[in-house]
Amino acid sequence: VTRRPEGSDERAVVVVGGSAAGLSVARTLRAGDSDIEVVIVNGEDEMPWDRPPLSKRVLRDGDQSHRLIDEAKLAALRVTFRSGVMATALRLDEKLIELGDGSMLAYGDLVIATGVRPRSLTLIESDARRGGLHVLRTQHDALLLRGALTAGARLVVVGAGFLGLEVAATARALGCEVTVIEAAPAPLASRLGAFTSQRLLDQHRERGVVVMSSTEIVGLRRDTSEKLTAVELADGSQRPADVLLVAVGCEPNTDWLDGSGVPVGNGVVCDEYCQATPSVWAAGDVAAWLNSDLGAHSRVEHRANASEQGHAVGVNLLARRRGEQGTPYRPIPFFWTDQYDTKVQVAGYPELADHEQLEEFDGGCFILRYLKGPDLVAALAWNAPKEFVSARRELARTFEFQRA
Amino acid sequence: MKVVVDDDVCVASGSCVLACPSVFDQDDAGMVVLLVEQPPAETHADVRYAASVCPVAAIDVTEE
Repeated sequence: VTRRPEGSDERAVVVVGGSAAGLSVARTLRAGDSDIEVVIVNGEDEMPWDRPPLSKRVLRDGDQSHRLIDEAKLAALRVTFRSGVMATALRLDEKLIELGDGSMLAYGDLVIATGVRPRSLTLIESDARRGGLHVLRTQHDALLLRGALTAGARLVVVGAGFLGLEVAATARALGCEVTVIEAAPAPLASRLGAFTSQRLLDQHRERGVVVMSSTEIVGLRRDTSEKLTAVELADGSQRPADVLLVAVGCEPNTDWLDGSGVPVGNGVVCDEYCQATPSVWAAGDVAAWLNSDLGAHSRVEHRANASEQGHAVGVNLLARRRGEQGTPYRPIPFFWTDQYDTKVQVAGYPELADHEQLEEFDGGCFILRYLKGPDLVAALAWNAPKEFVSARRELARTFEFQRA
Repeated sequence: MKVVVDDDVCVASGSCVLACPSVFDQDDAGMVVLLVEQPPAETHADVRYAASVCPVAAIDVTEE
């Protein structure tokens, strides 16, 4: 039995999700309107922590200091922060959110910022014993994995994406033996091109990581005490394994919206303003917005997008309440990955390119420009952060010119 | 307004420099360098934006 909403304001903005995107929405709303009522519903029990360090500092050092906000900042923000309670359903017509504790929350505008969860594998799902099997999305996940990555432990990473490769690098620093299993022919080649893929691969192989491409895991081996001992590959071979990390991507947390009338496809389907229905918005990993630079819906799982899109939603929501249209969300996507002593930074849309131009600097650093015909569509910096900022400026000018 | 940067967590994205170059710069390693601790009023919107787009929340802004 659900209770009637208590003390909730029908004008309030309710943000479901208290991580990077949700907090960015709240900060933007407060900066733009000192009176607006903002409620954040945060499914986690704790104050939110930042995610990029999870595969790096948290995993390597157990460093738990990477909070996205603290109590004092939250108080200064003047939002109602409801921790440890999940949104379980949405009544779109009544503008009510059902919460896991049986209560309901009314909203004037709803911002969905529920993020994503790690994708699983059928093979993993069917293994009832679970011992030795890991994913990495939360700080809890990172600390569990850290506990398993003792020196000499044999780690198998499934998925040579950014997360998998970062964990491989960190695990080498912790003294583990590391194998990476990738279904595609070359890690990240479809995202960043063959040249960058090879450079990343070389770096891992030089440090003793075994990277196996075009293959997949078909079985798990356990000893008589059910401890994980090896993984079986599609070609019949085996790799020794004490610890298995599944890092094969994520899927959006939209289950609670099923049947609600909010359009859901690969994420919450929004227009170019990040608006899904007249009173529902979405930001961050969960949002599939109409990206007018691509003429298609985009869903971006990078940390920088969470903040930037959260900001855009806050600005557009306030504009709409003033009777204005707002501004289409047209970011120039940006992300980075740190592996060993290499920092790789990428901006733009490398997947649009038809050729690449390399500019090398001393010490093995370089900038790779991705071009489509004569137009710059992306840039990648390999240990060249200052040059990267110039490249981001160059990209911004190019995109502004093309939009004009 | 008072600005504090945490160069220990900075990842050299340069996002702050792009958002507000009169207040933020980078050293040779790309790490954030704060040029003005108490930036003038006309930069406040850009400073807040820089803080909000920093991908590791390394910029702390206190309104006074």
